[in-house]
Amino acid sequence: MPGMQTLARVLLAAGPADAEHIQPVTTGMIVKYAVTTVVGIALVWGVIRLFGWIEEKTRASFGVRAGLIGIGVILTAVGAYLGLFWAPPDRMMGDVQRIMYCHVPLLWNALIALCINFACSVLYLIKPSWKTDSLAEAAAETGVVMGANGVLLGAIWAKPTWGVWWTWDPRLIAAAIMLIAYAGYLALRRFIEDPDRRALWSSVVGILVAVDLPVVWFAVRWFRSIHQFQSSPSTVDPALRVPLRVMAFAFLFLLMGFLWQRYRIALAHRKDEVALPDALPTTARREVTP
Amino acid sequence: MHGLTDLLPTLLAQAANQAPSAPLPTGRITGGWGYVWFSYALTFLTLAGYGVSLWVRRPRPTKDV
Amino acid sequence: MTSQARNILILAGTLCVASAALAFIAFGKLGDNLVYYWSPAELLAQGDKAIGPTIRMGGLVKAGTVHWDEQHTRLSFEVAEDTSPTAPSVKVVSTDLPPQMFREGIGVVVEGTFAANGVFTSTRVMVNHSNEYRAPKPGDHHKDDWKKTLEGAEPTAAREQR
Repeated sequence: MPGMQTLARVLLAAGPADAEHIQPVTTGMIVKYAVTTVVGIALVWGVIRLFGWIEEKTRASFGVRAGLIGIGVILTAVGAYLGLFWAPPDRMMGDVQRIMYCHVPLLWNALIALCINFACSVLYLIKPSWKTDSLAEAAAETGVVMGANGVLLGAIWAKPTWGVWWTWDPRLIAAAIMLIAYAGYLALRRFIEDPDRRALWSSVVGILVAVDLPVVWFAVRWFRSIHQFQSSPSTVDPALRVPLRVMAFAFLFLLMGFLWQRYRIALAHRKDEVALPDALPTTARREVTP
Repeated sequence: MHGLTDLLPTLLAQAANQAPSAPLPTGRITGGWGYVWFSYALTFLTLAGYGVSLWVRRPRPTKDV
Repeated sequence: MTSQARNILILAGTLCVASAALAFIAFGKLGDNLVYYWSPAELLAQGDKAIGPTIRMGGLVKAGTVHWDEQHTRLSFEVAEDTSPTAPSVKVVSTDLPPQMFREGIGVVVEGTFAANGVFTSTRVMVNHSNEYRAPKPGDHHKDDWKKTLEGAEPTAAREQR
């Protein structure tokens, strides 16, 4: 009886007192997510190799990155038009619901970036490389920028819907911890001057803070919260799904462009650091790089 | 631009709603475009600002120490 | 020991710590001890422990119980465990005006204190939205809602100006 199921889902989603929607963790899930993690790390490894290959072919062309950002900007413009003017308002939340088209894609992409940071942290410990270390740095920074933006939008959206800017709900706590943890990770990278030690210890910290990523995702299922849990295509009307998807891809392209450019910056930095021994005085450095 | 043209009437309607005779919410959110505009502006400014910062920090072939 | 072997050891150790931490959060019954809110039945089951401190309670606004006291600008309603008519419920008196989404049957989380007389005095009413996003139904005329309000309000405003 699909009708009954829909009804049950509406009631469960609307009724926070009912604990039935809190999903128990099963062995099957653990196996599934462990496999996903390994596959994900392999995928990031493949992507780094692919990046390297494209960079070699295009001679590290800035045009490729600019192109990715360009596609992202165009898609963002289309998505913003669809989200602001084309899509109907939500039946209950009205026009305020349009904030979702930015809030959700921002946080999806922030989580993607931070997962890349985790994969790079693991990869660095398996096989040290400045490329992996640079991508880890790039991913953490982009993830924090998009994540902070997404959390701010969540607060703005919460004011008219929930009635408060902020409340100590598990999802919100996990998201706040995520931002603070990765800001700390970036600060740590600045404090350690020796590139080898920095890469090593930031990898360790990168793995530790990544514990919070699944907690952010599952907080709404593991704990009681005021934050609604993940929507699925069946809980979002088609007209409202279109701008959400366009914006998700728009920000994904922006993320790719940002990540790549930030990676170039980090890699150039690393090469400078490694090429120039600290012992050399400033005058000697000038001679090395005219 | 219906959002902008709706803004004033919506604010007026909200003000009318807050009169003591009609205090209880309707169960639906009316208006609130201010939140939406602010959110989108904040998002675009943040992303554009980050893009600019990436351009400013771009690696240069000849680097002054 | 080569630095490669050392790195692998560090990786194994870090992954162990990280997995243990995640397992503790997921299986550690954190949700039983640290809850964002109590349901009405749980609140009632706490007995004297619930009386006094600032707490949160979450549930559904029971149909037909919403009452607005105009003179004292005071809102009262009952928060029920679930939709069944016999579900345990707690009476809430609020001094805070609820957000616009507030209606009968919607999920709410109230913040405040529970008194011995069985009334929950709320200083903050928060509304819980589901994960459903729907376009307005053809009969809703949602976009034109403000017009009705405005049409009703306009004559009054115009009269006051004259």
